Amino acid sequence: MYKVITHTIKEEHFEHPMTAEAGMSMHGNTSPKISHMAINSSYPRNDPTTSSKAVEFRMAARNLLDKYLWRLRAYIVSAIEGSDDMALIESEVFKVISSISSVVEAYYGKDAATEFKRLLDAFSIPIIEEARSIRAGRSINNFENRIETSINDLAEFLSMANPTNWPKAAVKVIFTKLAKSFTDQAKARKAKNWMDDIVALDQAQKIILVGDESMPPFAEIFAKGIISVFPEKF
Amino acid sequence: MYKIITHSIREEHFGHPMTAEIGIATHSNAAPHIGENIVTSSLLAGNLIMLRPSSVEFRMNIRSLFSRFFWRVRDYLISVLDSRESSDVEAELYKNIEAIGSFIDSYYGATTVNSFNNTMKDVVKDLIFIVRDIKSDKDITESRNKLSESIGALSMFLNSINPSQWPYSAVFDIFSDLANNWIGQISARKYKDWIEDMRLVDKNEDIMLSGDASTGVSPFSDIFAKGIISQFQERFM
Repeated sequence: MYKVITHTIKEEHFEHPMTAEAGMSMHGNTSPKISHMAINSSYPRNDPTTSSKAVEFRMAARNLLDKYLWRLRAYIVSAIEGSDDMALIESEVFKVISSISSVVEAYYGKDAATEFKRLLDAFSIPIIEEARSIRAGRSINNFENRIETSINDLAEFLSMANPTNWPKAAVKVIFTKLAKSFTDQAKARKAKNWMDDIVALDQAQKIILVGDESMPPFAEIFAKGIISVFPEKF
Repeated sequence: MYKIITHSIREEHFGHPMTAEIGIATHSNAAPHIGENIVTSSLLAGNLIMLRPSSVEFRMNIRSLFSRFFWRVRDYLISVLDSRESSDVEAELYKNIEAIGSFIDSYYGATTVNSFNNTMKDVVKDLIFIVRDIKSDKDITESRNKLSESIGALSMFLNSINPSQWPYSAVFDIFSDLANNWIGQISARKYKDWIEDMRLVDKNEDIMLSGDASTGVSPFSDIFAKGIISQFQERFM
């Protein structure tokens, strides 16, 4: 059977009415172009998140966040065991954070990326220190407060950068659940409760990679948020 | 500034000359949709099917499933080395394989999925045996040969259900590299060579999840997903 299908795709590009405002609030002096793309077709390109570049970007974002999740997980495993590779894995965690920040830099500029890195570091450090405290049997109340503060700051920053796609309340929920899953993994491993450890790990994977009925995975929220603000780059 | 860009895309679809043969080779008992499968004539159309929202979602889901499987294998191999073996955790590891199997059940059917699950589990079980051997300083030549046989069986199996997308030699090479890197990680950890361990983690991530940007080689998770999409295009329209 032979058949020919012809698609006509029409892209309309125009300046977004909020360009100036968004440029001011996010980029200080620089004012990057923010355009809205509407494509008059039912073909995949009517959704900017499924262009070839966008899919590649979403996959890359997923890879980076996957790495972040698993290196933090690896740190917790090593920290609870008191393994000698803790220092190396810790440096790997911050290396991945730098890589994620580079993605932010490509779209939001250097200053935003530096701040994003500082905030994600600030979220990760107490999780790392908390794992060591759990191993040592010390109180972790102090870390809970630091984690909460860091989540609030990170959510504030992301919602300023992309209020539509990264609303503060949603980001707070995501990172609060993520932090809890890491704490739960550390506690479960310390207690040698391997099945609870797996449940907590599953939770972290749901938050970052898989999603659930209430929320898409953060990897997608992150990537699609950037694509939505900068569709002309995809 | 306002601008309009218009694209005209023409797809040509025709019955692939090998359709009947592929149908026989892969689904000898019942092949309701393989025979109707269409193979696009242009690279553009082939790429576009991978970009359809349903295809992208499928690729993302497969990638997540392989990520979970991939990291759990590493996690568990380390547990075995560090004397934290647990039959419950090992069972969970096999559930990750079954989760991948369940995901492709609607494409290949229960019998094929069962074979997939079993051949994948054999590879993991052989890896666990090797780690036990490494841990107790035993020679691993024999257990490595056994692993190689299991990888051969897995490659043969995948090749049989999707010969054009999952050729035997490619699957065998991919899984051999993965296995060698997992074994290398365990050996490195045993001798506390953490840098080598992490180097091999990175290598395996490239093979399974990230791909190699320098060579343009896709990760296995995407080869797997795209293979299914290519074979069952009508399900992703």
